Amino acid sequence: MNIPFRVSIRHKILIGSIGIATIACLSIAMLSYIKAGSIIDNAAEQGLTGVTNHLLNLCRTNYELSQKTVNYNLNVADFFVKGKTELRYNRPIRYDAEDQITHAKTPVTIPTMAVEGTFVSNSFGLVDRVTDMIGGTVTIFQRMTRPNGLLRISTSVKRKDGSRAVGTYIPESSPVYKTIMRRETFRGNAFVVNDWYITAYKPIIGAGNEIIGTIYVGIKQSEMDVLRNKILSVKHGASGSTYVIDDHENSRGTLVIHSSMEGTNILDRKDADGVAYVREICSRKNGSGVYSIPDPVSGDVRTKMLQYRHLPEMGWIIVAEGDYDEINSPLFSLRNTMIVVGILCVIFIVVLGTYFSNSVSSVVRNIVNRIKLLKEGDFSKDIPDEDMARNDEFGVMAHHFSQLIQNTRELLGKVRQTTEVLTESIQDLTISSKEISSTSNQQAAAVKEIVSTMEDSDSLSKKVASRIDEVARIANQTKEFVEKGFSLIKETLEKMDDIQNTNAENISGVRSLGTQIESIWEVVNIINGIADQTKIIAFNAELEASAAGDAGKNFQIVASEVRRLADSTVSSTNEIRQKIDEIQRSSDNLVLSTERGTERIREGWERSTKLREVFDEILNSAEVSAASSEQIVASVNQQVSAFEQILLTLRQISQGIDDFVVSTRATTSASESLKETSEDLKASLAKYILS
Amino acid sequence: MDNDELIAKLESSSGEGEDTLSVEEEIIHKLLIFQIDDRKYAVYADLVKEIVINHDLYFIPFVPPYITGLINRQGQPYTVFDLKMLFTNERLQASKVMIMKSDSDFIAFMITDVAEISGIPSSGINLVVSSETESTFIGSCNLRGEEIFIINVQEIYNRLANDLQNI
Repeated sequence: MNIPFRVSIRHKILIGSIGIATIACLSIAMLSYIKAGSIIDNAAEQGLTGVTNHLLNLCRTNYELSQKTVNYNLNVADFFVKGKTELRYNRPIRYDAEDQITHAKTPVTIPTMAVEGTFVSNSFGLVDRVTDMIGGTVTIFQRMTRPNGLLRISTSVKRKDGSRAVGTYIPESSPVYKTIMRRETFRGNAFVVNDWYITAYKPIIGAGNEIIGTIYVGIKQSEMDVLRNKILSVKHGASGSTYVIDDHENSRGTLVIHSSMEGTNILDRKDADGVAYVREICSRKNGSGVYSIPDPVSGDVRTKMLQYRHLPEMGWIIVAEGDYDEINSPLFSLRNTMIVVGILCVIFIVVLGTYFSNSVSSVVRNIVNRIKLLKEGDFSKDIPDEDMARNDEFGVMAHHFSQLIQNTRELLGKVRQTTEVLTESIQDLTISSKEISSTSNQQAAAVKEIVSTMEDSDSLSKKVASRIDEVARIANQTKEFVEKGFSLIKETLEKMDDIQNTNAENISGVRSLGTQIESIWEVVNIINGIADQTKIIAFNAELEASAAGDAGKNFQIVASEVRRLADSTVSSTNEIRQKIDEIQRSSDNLVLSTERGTERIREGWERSTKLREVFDEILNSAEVSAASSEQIVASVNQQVSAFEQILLTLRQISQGIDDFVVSTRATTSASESLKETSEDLKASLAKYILS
Repeated sequence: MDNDELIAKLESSSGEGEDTLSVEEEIIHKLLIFQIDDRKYAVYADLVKEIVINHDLYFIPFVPPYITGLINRQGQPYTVFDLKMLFTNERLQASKVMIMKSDSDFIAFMITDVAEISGIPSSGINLVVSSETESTFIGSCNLRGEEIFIINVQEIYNRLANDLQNI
């Protein structure tokens, strides 16, 4: 950051200390002021809340007591009318009935009501007597039907002009009327004629068990003097006040209890900012607020803190009011005290800061002057002794700074000597580095040549490994084929053995067949002999028959047939003989051909045996070839792996040599740079004055 | 041939005999047809006593070559003639001997085989007419297209007697 003007340390310390102290004081004062204000506001609000809550409980208690009183009064009043009231229809009476809410008037004619034979319509003796007994107000209502309502025919309630409020009626919209019509007793707040009362209404039942009227007793809310005085006596501060605002719908905003303005409606009253604060209070019912309220008499605007609570049983809002300035007067006093103390503190800080800044800045100034000399290369002057003699941190700093100057002076002397030696060494180093760089370049070229050759060899080795793999695969395949062939030959030999055995059995069978045929031949010869003999016998018989003449004629026929049979037998045996001859020839041929087949089979078996021996040798050779191929593959793979390892190593060597060349170049460059630097250093050191 | 056929044949044969008797005009000669080697010859069947086979033959020395030897047939010595030797001067190899009827001589012929006994009418026999000497054959007959010579047994007897006397 650029400072547009130069400020000395002395002034900086002075300004800083005053600024920090001022800011600290102001901060403390502000925080204290704000905190105190907050505390006072809370205290005031709590005070007002306590007041309003207290008054609320007081009013609620008073209301309950008043309600009990009204109940008692109702019992007394009911005693006078219960079972003693009747209507005299022969004496009708006319009223201009006035709605107590709308004040609309309607002419009505109703029968006269009598209690114990005494007319009570427009007669006030009974109600005044009861009023004297119980206090408050008493009214007798008579029920009317056109319009529906309860007409006030005798009452102790008076209008504002002092006249009795007879002729007014409670309309059917009123909760009082509705309750009475249900033959129940109404208890609660009710608007009677022109004000609010704590009331009780009870139906009057006629002789026909019909509702003919109502007896009423009541206490005017605003006439509860004890309560009023109690409320008015409660104040918050010297200028605070307490009052009650009516919250009933038709009289909302009217001051029910107030020290000076009772009966005044202030609903539309506004504060200095134009806010209708009473209307706001009536709408919120419970809460608090700060308003600038002009005084109705003097017109002076005062800031008021309001706290308000709603009492729904009586339709009141109790308001406690406190003056804001009065509440905050301790705060203002505190503020003034703080301002005075703050000014005193600032003065003290200015004095103290001036002394301190002077004390600090003298040492710093001397050190700065020495630094200026050092900047110009003058290390010959030292820090004054009085600064080093101080017993504080500045004295220590001055001492150490002086020591630093002395050390630097010695160091520069040594550096100057060392630089001389270093320059010569660097010159030697530069020359050596250049030579190393040249040699490294040659080595890098040679190694790259080797790497290139090794890469070619590696490629060739991989190709050889690939081919050898193929050869090994083929050798294994050949081995498998040979094994299959060998297996087939073994099977063939076994089959040949089977054929040979079968053939031998066949030959044996055929020979046996020849033997059997020969035996058949013998049998046939026997048969032939028999047939021949039979034939001869038949001939002889025939000859005998012939010799017998006619007597032997039949015998001759028989003999002739026997002879023919013998001929036929001979003929058949001859055929058999021919067949046997053919069979024998065939058998002989079969034996011969089978023997030839046997010879062929034997030759085939011998050849298969030789073939098996050959395959055995081929299988051995194939196994040896496959094993050798696998060994060759393993060897070649090892060779390839070794080649790759060598190549990798050579590449690393090449990379290392390249790096070395680069390093050597960098070293050469660095040594040259160092040489220049040492010369510059030498020149620079020459500028310093050391003694 | 079964029995029924044989009986039928016998019945028909007996019937024919009756018919033949009634219309007899021509004599039927019973000829025994035999073989010497493949050649067939005939003799009158009533001249033949029987035919034997495989009979022991006893050689007789100092007799004509057509006399093969003697056989002992039921105690009677029969002289066995080799007709092949007689006809073709070759020796016959045979096992059958045809024994002839004769009151005075015991003569037998060596034959290869016996063919059949056939009834040939007189008209079927062609007699040999010779002015010089009695022929070896009486005549011939045609049997199923084959010409068969009928041997003159008496002449053979005579020759034997003559030759034996000359010894």
